[in-house]
Amino acid sequence: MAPTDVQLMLGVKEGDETAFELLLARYRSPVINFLYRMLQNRAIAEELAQEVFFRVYRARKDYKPTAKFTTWMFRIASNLALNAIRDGRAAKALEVAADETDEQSDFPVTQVADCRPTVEQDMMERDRARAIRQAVGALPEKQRTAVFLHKYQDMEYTEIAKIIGCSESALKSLLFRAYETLRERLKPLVEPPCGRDEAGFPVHPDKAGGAR
Amino acid sequence: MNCADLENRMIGFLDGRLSATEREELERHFAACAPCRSRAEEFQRLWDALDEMPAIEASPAFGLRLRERLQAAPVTVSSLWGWLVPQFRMVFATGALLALALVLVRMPEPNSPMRATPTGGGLAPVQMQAGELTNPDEQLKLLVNLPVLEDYEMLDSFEALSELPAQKQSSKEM
Repeated sequence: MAPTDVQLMLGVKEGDETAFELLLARYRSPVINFLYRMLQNRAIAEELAQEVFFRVYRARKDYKPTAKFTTWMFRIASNLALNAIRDGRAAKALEVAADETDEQSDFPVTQVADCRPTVEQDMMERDRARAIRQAVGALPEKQRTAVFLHKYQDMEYTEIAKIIGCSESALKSLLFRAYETLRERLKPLVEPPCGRDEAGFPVHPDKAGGAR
Repeated sequence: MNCADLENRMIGFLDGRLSATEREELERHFAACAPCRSRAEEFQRLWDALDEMPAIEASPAFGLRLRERLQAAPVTVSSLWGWLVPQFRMVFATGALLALALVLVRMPEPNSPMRATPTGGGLAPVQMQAGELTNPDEQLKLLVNLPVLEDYEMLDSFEALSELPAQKQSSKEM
């Protein structure tokens, strides 16, 4: 049975370097990708991920298993990401995202709703990915953090609420507003591909997984 | 369930954390309400589309760079001591600055009339004593200690003195 995060962290506290390596292997990718999605910049995401693990290691002597390890670690990651956004390190990437989001009516994702296959599939997929990245990047900081922790880290509501510093009910409301905003901004991606039936229900072809 | 409840249940609908009962109620509502069903389907497509956000892998040198950084980092101090050390520094620095400021403000200039005229201003009691001292070394020693001797406000509020009421009274009586 794999050791829990708390067991590993207590091992790190006792000087077990292997335990730290295991924690690093377990959370390197989630932390880097959380930061990458927050900042939309690979280099800054890696730099901040280094800082997250550095701080975890540096604080090992003071570690007490009173809170969930991932809550503590992602709180560090979240604070670092928000600081980077606020001090302008990631400003350029986010400005580009925001500017282009304003022009989202120009991006060709409307073609996705067309059932006909095209030879420009790759380009469309890139456009879709860019549109999604821009729409999410334009969310307010707190909503963006909540969405990334909820959607990609599959965290419990209570854990996300602790990380971003709000109640569980406030978190659910925050998440709903964020997803509603994204639904509006990405309307061309999420509308039914081929219209509606007589009863008003959307009719979509053989795309069981939605507009992918 | 009605259309307004959709907001409360949408997040659980998306992440699959609704209870079986809640989900059944939601599906019954969708069967009867085309706008809510349409909205939920859009949410579902959005949820699926978010999977298209690219993910990255750590660079090969990530672990190596981190280990180098950890090895170069100084050993951490314990929490209590780590918390106290900056406080000591702050207290020491503040105290030193205050002492320096007091010395600079209170120290009379070499040609100041206060030095020659023991009866001047609020410093009279101390100046009188300084004037009575004929030994230059003793005068200098007293002047060096002036900032402490003159800080009557500090002495008035010095708690330790308030514990000696009997002595004060007895000295007044005398």
